[in-house]
Amino acid sequence: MTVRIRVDHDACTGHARCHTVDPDLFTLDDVGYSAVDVADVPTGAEERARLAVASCPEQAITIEEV
Amino acid sequence: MTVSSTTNQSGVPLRHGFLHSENADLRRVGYPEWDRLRNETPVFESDYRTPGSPNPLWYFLEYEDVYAVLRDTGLFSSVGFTHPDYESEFMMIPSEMDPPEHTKYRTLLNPLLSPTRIGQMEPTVREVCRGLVDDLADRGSCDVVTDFALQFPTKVFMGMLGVPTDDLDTLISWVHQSQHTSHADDPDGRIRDGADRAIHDFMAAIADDRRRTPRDDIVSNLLGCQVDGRPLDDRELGGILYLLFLAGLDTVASMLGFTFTHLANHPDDRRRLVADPTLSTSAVEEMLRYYSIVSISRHLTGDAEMKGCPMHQGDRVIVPLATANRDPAAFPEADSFTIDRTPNRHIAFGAGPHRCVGSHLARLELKVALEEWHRRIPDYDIPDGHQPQLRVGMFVTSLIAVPLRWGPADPGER
Repeated sequence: MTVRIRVDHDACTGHARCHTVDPDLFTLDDVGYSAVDVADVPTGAEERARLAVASCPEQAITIEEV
Repeated sequence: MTVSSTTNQSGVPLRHGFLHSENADLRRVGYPEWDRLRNETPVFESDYRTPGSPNPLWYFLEYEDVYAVLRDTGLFSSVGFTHPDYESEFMMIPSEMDPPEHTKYRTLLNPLLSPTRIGQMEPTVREVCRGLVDDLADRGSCDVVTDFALQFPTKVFMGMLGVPTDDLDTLISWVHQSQHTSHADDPDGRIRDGADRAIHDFMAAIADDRRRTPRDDIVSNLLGCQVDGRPLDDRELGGILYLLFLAGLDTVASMLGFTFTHLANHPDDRRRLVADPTLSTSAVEEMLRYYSIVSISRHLTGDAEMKGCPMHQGDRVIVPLATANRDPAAFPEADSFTIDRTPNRHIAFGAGPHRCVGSHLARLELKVALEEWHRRIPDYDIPDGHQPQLRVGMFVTSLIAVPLRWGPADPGER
């Protein structure tokens, strides 16, 4: 089972809260918006990923198990 | 209570003469009064009118509705919001624009205030803060608003502009006049207009100098920016610098006033922070949520109904971020201050395309202030009997003065 995150770039407005929770998983582009489209969450980082999803004021990140 | 509530023709509660920035109960009680208003009337209409602002006025107080208003920039327009009660030639760019025009200018500002760029400023910001705290530490008391909260972000901003800090008090007084003069004290806007003009003239003089002699500062960077394939004209540059000037100085200062008041009045939170400075990140976020200082104003571009409110083109909507961020439907134990609250999905910096462009700088300044202050001055209180006075602004709420006192540092202990 893999945990996967997906970022909606129309919703992201650059709060960068996800990056604060896990800078390695939630990378930012040059101006501070999410640079992630879809990414598999490394083993051990699942809880941080869920926290990042819950921290996004724009609810721009979804998480799924595949 | 001075505000009586009935209902209008469509069944929506009507509060007579309510304008948050002129409401005595909000000024006296502060945030719990916002909570009371939200619990009583999550949505209401006010019949407050001024000659410059004759249209119906609606308040939305719940997180869900505040968020919806901020996201829907097509229906809820930002044009002209900074001067709702008199004609002004000055506008904040791009705050007072709607997408897609807003996007063109926002794109220029994002890289100048990106997390990476702001992160590089941390040593400088820390040095400025340390200098101020070092000067205060031996005094044993101060008004933290005047002596620290207003000084710190203003000094950082002047550093970003590359100007000497000799004029610091003048700049602070312009911000005060522009942002904290009430309609009642300035019905025709003359006082506010004078301050806005002084700010524009000050920034224009810097721009003229950087045109001749470019440097590595924010004004020089903006002069190199292009919009629609051409450099910014004077009006555009003036509008952007006007925004940076006002939004960057007033807001962080105000947050610092609430932050130190809270920590003086809640020694348990303060001791936890002193014992574990890594809490400063979550503490800043919780301060931003619990003491959200900004209220946002929009007007409707067309007719629409929301939560039973029959709104029409030109009607005004006010969404106080404080009521959204203290809404129990959005946050567990919303009326408790939880220094390590996680997650904390607050919208103290707004939401949607107008999300505060300076938020990364603001967060850095607030975090550095917590760390540097408590490193030198871990214990303090507010002298007995002093009740900090709230100034509820149209856009920014702040404390007028917050006297703190502390004992001499114990060199054996630290």
